[in-house]
Amino acid sequence: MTRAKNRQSGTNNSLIDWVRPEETDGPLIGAVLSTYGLSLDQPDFFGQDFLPTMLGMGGVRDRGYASPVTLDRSLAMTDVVLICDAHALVAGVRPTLRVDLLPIGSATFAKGPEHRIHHAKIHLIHRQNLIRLIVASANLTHEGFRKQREAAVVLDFYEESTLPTSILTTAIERWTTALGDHCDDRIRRIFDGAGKRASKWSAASARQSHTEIEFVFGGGPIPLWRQFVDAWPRGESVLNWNICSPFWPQPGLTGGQNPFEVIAAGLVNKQCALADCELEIVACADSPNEKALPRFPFELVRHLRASKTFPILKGRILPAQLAATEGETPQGMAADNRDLHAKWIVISGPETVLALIGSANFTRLGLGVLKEPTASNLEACVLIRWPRGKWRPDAWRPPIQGRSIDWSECGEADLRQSPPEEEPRADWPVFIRDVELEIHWEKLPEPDGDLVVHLLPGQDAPLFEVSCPNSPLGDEMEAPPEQNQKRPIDAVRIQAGPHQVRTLLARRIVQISWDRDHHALFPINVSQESKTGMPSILGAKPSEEQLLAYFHGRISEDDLLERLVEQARNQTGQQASSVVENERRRQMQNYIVREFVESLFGLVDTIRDSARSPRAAEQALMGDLSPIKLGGEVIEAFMAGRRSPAAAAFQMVELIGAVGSIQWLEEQVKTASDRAVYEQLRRRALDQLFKTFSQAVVRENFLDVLQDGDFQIYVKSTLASPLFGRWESFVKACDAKDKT
Amino acid sequence: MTAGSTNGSSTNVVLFERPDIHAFWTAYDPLDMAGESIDPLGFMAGYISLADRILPGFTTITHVPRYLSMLCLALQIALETVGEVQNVTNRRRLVIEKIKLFERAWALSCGVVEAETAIGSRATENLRGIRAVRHWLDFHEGKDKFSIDFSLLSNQVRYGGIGAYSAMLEALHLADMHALSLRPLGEQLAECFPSPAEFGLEITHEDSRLERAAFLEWGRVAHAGDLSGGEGRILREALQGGEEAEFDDETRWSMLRLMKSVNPEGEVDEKRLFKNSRGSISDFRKPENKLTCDRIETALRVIEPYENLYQAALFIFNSARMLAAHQSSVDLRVVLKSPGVDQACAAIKANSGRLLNEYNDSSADRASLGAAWQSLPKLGLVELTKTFQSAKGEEALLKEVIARHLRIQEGKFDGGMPKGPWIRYAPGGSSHFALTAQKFGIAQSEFPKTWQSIERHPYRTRAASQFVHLCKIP
Repeated sequence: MTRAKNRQSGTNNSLIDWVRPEETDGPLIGAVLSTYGLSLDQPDFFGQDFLPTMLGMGGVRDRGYASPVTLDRSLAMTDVVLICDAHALVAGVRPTLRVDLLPIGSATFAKGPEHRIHHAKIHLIHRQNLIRLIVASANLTHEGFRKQREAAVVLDFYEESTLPTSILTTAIERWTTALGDHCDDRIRRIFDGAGKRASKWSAASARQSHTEIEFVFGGGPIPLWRQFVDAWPRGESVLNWNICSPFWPQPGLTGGQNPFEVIAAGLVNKQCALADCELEIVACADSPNEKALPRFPFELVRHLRASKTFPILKGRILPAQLAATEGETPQGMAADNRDLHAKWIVISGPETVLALIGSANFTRLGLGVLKEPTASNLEACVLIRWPRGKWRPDAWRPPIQGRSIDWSECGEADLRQSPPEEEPRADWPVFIRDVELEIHWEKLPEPDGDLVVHLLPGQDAPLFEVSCPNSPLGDEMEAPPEQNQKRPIDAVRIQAGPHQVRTLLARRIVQISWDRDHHALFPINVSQESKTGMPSILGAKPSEEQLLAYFHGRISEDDLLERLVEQARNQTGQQASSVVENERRRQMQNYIVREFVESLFGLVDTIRDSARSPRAAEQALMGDLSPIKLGGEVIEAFMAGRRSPAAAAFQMVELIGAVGSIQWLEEQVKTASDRAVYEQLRRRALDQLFKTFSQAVVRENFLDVLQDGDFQIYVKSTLASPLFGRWESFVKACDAKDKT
Repeated sequence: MTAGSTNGSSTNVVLFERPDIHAFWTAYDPLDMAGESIDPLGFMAGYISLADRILPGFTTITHVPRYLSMLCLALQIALETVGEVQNVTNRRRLVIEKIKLFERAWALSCGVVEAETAIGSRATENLRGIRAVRHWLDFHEGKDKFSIDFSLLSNQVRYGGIGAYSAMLEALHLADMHALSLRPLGEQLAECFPSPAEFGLEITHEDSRLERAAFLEWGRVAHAGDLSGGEGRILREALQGGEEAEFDDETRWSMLRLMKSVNPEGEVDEKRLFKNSRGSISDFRKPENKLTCDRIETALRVIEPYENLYQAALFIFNSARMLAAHQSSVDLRVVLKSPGVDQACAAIKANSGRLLNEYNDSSADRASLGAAWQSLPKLGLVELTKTFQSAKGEEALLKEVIARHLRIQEGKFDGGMPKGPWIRYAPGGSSHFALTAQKFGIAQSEFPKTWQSIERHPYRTRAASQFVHLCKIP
């Protein structure tokens, strides 16, 4: 399926609409999202508005909340990573574990430039038929996406897109470099997937003409202001310089130059005349009325007017209208204030226009006007250069309400002090890159796991402790002695018992304590391997009968999940282990096994149809509605005496045979490399099935069945030859283990 | 220096545009779900259980009777088109897809009628997904043919006609939406709805390109603002429950008829409607509807003090939020001196007593308040009224309101973690409190002057009035 070229979404410029898929875009394969601020509570914009919208489930705009279970089921089919500045997480709230979360430490406790503020707001959304890159000034908050005056740039790549793929691949390369050691395998996997997908798309014959576009990142060795100046043609004079920003450099704070001066000097050094240039600054307004004044530091105006390195004499400062205009307010909605939060710089000459749009405020930290540019914020912007043509400076203005202030004549009373740039204080363990929970799902009846604390490479990590917040078992999770001896290590592994795994899955955070009086709540991620086995609903797993009904097609996934939610609520799982219930189920064995056989076709179909993305196939093969889970239920039934050894062994062999027999559809698995990925998933699923199988072998009567001659004949006729070979090795290994 | 607006109210939304590159100013896109709907004092569930006592089967968004007949025909055609499918999940998916197609086509026909006839906006009133319909029609302006391959809503099943009207289709015994099958009344209703095939519209495939003129002709007789005599007749029967009538059906029918008798033009507001209904119900009561009238009367008696209590308590709570909006902490006594708070406290006292009396009176016959009789104490609302009654002084009342909020927030969970309160006591005592985050503050300009101005819960009467009017309920 290819996508329609004439897109509807976003036509009203609602930022959230650009996140919403169209049917032709195909399923979501992966997304890397990044932000400085994050709204997780009251309202939970990210969980209840952004994610459901991105997954095509409808957010709060559509009069209702997506159920967390439905959201998690959809997320399980895809890879989503959220990178955000640590300050947004200090309250200890973490979004769903289905989204990997990578916090980047605040500069407040930084000991070096590697601990800069993560201020970028760039999103890569990879769908089957569309890869979209969004760079914006908006944080992942309700205010950012729905209220404030923000600027955004959206680039679409797809089969026959007019944009060359090189823009995407370069953006990914630069983003990877900007993230440095924070760019881990999770992000790389999504980036690689998008890059590979885009490389298969052919470009349309009609290319973008005369427009140069590139993604640029701040926080690296080449500061953003320098990249901006470098993109301007040498020798071309600058006639207009327009800047929009909510924050401005505070004069005299560091004694060094400010962005106005360095950009002007950079242009002059390129022999670009600024004498006729007119400066236009759009700043926040101090009030929502016609007497509003712009919020811009007068000290800065005075400094620049007197500066020998800033040759511009003409200009004005405008207040962006604070209240929503009548035209902006949708019918029936109350008008509210719309704070200016957009950030862009445009310079234009007789022949060229150059724009920088994105997350960078017009401040020293934003544009990298520092002695050490790598200490500046990690920012993401788009640089666009095109011939001047019909471009008019006023076309970029937001609605203006209030007094226009003349640059050359204004006094202190004509301006209001601008707010200081966002610099939150956060106690944060900047030496930790990630805390990952590995769960051993194959351990029945309850899994245990390992907590792996990944340290940032090259960091001198202090002594630290890890504990479950408010957990009486916190002491058990202290970092082991190797870490305390300060050996140069990349990761610390801590064992977590079943109770702790359960607690961690519910709380989704750990407490890190270091240097005696520093504490922070750090979000955990579930490791990629373990994610597949995560239950959709904590506290309720589907029974064997429910799984069979699902594969048989008698119950839809939605209905099954609904029942599980109800089950978790009523804690009916406790009844299941009662003696009476055990006996009831034992008597039902014949019925269940017949059901099992009938459901196998549905099981194979379900898995085969899931091959729209590797993550979706992985979920179908190994997730909580999968043959692996069904196999676990079978072995549990056997161990609890509800299933005869012959019946359980028969079911396991059938499951192995079913997984081994799946034929991937050619329209979904098109290339050899795709096929290799899906075959790798099949191998993992088979490994897990054999591992589950082996847990029953401790019972002598089970091994007897496996070694029975008739049973071996049955297995040989059921499994294809390579799989039968593996079966034989498995039985031999079991036998050898039994003898030792 | 220039004073005043330099750019008027015009808004430049596009910064830069080329094929596949869009740079723009973001739109103001507020949510229509007001902050109050978050229910900081926990009155929402009680209101829903009370609303179920007077208008079961209705919701606050089921305004358009025609959705029911449209969905019945859509389901009938979908079932015929899909045929026999062994796998239940696949069958459900295929049937839903066909219903979605039908709904999109119907919505477009309403949109065309709105744009091209004197019927105007009546044709699309309360149509779900109207913005997308208008976009699609704008997009195809001047074209004689277009497809129905567009996104009506981001999740059409959940937020479109199926999601909004499924419960009502079930409540009125028109369809079994779980099994996706029509009941006998639903079959009859489907027959009454104008079929698109009669207008040459083949709407079972999304890529079919269909004539605008055919949409127009179909829409003229099938748009959302109208109802044929046949449909009205079947719906009147369905609203009474038909052959499967139960007590809920009889209650609904009595309430609709009561509404008709006290508010024939459907113009009075809900509070007055309830007052008039309480006043007239004795005359309206007949031997054949005595039980349902008793049930309605009990609910209406409880609803009035319940809503007053809610309005007054929320007024006090919001006054506190407003005062704390720009201060690090606020003395409770300052809140008590805030305009209107004394009257709100008096209203809490008076109405908690009334509510408790009405609730206790209804206890003699628990059936008269049904599920609400159980849910009000379960939600802690009966206990709350008792606490309000026994509170000594206004400060104690205010503390009880804050305590209620703290309890409610503790009980709300987000992914297994309790949600934080909006306000909390300042460290060291309970004489001062502060907002937990600035965003929970309320601007003074947005704040009502009296507790009576706080918006009440909507008890579905607006939607029901539409049915009374279009179905010509006697």
